[in-house]
Amino acid sequence: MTAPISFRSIYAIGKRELRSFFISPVAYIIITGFIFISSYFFTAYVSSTNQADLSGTVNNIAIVLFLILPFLTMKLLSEEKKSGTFELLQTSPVTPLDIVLGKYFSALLLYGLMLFFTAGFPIYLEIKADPYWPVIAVQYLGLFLTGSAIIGIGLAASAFTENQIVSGIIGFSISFGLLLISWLGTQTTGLVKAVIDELTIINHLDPFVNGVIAVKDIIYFLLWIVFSVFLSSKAVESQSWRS
Amino acid sequence: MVKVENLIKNYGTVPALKGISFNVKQGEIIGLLGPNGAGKTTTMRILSGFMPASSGTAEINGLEIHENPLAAKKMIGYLPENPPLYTEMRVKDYLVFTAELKGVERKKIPGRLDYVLESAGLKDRRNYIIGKLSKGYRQRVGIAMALINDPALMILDEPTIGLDPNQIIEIRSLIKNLAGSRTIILSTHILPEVSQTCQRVIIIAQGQIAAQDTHEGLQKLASGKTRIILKTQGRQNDACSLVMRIPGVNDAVIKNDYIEITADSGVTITPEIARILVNSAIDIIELKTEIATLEEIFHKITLEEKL
Ligand SMILES: Nc1ncnc2c1ncn2[C@@H]1O[C@H](COP(=O)(O)OP(=O)(O)O)[C@@H](O)[C@H]1O
Ligand SMILES: [Mg+2]
Repeated sequence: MTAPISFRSIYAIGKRELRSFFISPVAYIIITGFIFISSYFFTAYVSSTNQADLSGTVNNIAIVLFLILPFLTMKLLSEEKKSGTFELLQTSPVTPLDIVLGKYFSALLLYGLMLFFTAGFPIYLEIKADPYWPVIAVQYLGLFLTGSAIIGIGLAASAFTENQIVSGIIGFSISFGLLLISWLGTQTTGLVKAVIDELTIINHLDPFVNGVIAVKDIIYFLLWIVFSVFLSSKAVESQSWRS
Repeated sequence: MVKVENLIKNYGTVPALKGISFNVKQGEIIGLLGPNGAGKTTTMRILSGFMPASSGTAEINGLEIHENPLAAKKMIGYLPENPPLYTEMRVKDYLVFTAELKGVERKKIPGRLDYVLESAGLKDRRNYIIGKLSKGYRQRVGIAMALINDPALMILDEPTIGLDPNQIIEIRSLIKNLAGSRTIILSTHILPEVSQTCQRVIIIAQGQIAAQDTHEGLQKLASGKTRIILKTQGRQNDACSLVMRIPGVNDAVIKNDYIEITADSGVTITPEIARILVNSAIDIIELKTEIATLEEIFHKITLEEKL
């Protein structure tokens, strides 16, 4: 199906999804949990290093994302399939890409909100000391891109099963796998190591944490996002799911 | 308005539809009647664009559903067997969402919302959370959803299944009121349902159309009469009068290129027909009994409502 996307449909689907996040307690639990855990890391880091620097906190938050974002994405498409509302989407004049992008942006927006709540950390640093804001901005960009990739992977996982738990586990395993293989990179040499190092998410977040924006890292994250969205849209289109 | 040609659908190796063809005229209410597993839902899912057929075509106002999915879907209001409701939403929010999803113009949405709330008898439930409504009211929300884009064609899959008798009566009269210029295809496995609501019935069994008829024609079939289709090489009038002499034959009527014979069921009459016609040198192109399969089907269809 090569029909163009419709922003109106994406908006309608995304808005409904966001609303449903906030009707259920899940969104509140996830956001509260996220703020709680990252505040813990922030306090621990600042009190131990006594520096006006976020890099340690950003690294910790990144790990938390791998654990928390799958809870946000696991139901995106699988729940619609399970409850039968997918049949409504599929028989409405919208394209698979509309459906998938609506879902993707809703989760992305919620994630943006989660990051927004951590703004207290740099503000605290600003009050107490003199942090370097450009680096903080780059660090946040890195966090945002990392989360965007994890959300994409989770979305794709949810497109392949109507079981939320399975969807969550697949999404978590793939994105966490992209984190864990960093260890494999340290155990290998030559071409294998080079490939593994390039695949590892954290290796592409590191430059951002150090305040460096490299095109290659941005492309890495964008590739994951585009690939996931494309795959999800193909899964929706293929209709290979049993009901 | 609807033109379905030779739909075939296989789920893996399981054949669900084995070549379904039918037409529906604008404004007609037709019923797809058949026992469970006959292929009603499959037919409707293909017609609504939910999934593609393995082969065959389905056109709505000249648009093939899988070639022009977006344009065709805009003309359809489809209520699946399990109403696709977001149970956490309020009735009005859900209907506004479905209006947006179906591409209803923004400025027309408030008017459509009022109209469907009114038509589906949901005015005093507009602010209810869908999950808190009774089954009958949820079905109304589903029908309101299918109506929100002012569709030329409504496809309703077993709209009264699982409802209690009062709710069934309400939903049926609701569906009848929706008709008018709208075309409606509804499915059911209950015989009286089609006779009460539909003008024409398509009986489907094991993925095939077993018969298409009006309510009266169906009653004939259901009342222990056999229907035999006879095609001859010309001389239809002669054939008619010959056939009428056979004991057990009630009627023989010329219909276009074939003769429809009504006979008492239980008697095997086709060999006798063949013999008489051959003796009079009338060539038979086709001679088939429709009731043999129909009797089996009716056996499986719920003939009476268990109220
Ligand atoms: N998703 C599916 N996968 C495999 N077989 C299916 C699927 N859906 C329906 N079938 C089979 O196709 C046949 C027709 O089913 P269906 O169209 O649901 O019938 P009806 O709606 O008339 O009860 C049945 O034999 C059913 O078991
Ligand atoms: Mg069915």
